[in-house]
Amino acid sequence: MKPAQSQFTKEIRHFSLVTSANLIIGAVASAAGILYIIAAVLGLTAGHVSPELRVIAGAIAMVCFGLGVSVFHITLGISRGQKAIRDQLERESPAVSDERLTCLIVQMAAYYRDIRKTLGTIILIGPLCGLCVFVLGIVTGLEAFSLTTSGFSVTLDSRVMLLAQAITLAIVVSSLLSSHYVTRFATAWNHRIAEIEASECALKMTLGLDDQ
Amino acid sequence: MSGRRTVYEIYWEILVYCKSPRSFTAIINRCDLNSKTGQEYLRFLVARGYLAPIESGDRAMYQSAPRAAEYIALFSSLYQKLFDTGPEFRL
Repeated sequence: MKPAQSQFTKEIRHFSLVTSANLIIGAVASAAGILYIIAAVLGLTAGHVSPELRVIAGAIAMVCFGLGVSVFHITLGISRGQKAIRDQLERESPAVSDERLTCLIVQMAAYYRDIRKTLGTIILIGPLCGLCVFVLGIVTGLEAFSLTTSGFSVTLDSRVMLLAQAITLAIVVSSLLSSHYVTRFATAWNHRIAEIEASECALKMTLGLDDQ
Repeated sequence: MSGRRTVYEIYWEILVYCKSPRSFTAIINRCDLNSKTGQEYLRFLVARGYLAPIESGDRAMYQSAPRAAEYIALFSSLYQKLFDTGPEFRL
């Protein structure tokens, strides 16, 4: 396998892992948000907690739902185009001709130019989404505690609550990592797009356009 | 192929596709061009001697000229070199 093909295949596979993680983060965030809203409407969240905290939690849940849906929807759009390129590459691997490999690289470059701005959005809202899930987890956790002058009580099994907190922590860490890797992907492709622009001079000369 | 492509990418795509004779309609469909821009690209490549018009019955066909090989080879090498240098993406 040619070095360019091996590197291109590896990058495409790794980027699909990142988009899959983002899809999961978006799905979990929107599910957490909508579940909290439904629970609040049904009155299941009414405990010993103050109404102000419930209002704040409700607002965070709505933001969490909105951001989760956005992350899911945007990532789905990104992954569809990238999946089409990955499928073609995997179908033809390992015996990909030079011409086909160049064709797929051109497709990827064209596709990257299309999604460049969207990637910027996902880099920004991905961690925000994870943070919202985390804050919602903390607020929901606070609702399980009741602090009085005589002490405090826990209305939920503390092990269940710890598990829920661990999941929200995992979501926030995954969203930060995902954002980091999307940034690295964007950096690599921005560099390549700049190189393509720089190499246009050589192509221009070959086509005999340097005199114009 | 669709998406935002540079003119050089479109030239390359046309020249590679026309290694065997192709009709104008087939070229614009394959390269996702409208007929006006398609005409412009073909006119340019024909004028520079990279594409040769062939008369095939009542239809005009186009085929890449031997001169196109130089451009195709340079283009392929430049695009594959993108993965040799610069920051690479990996987890």
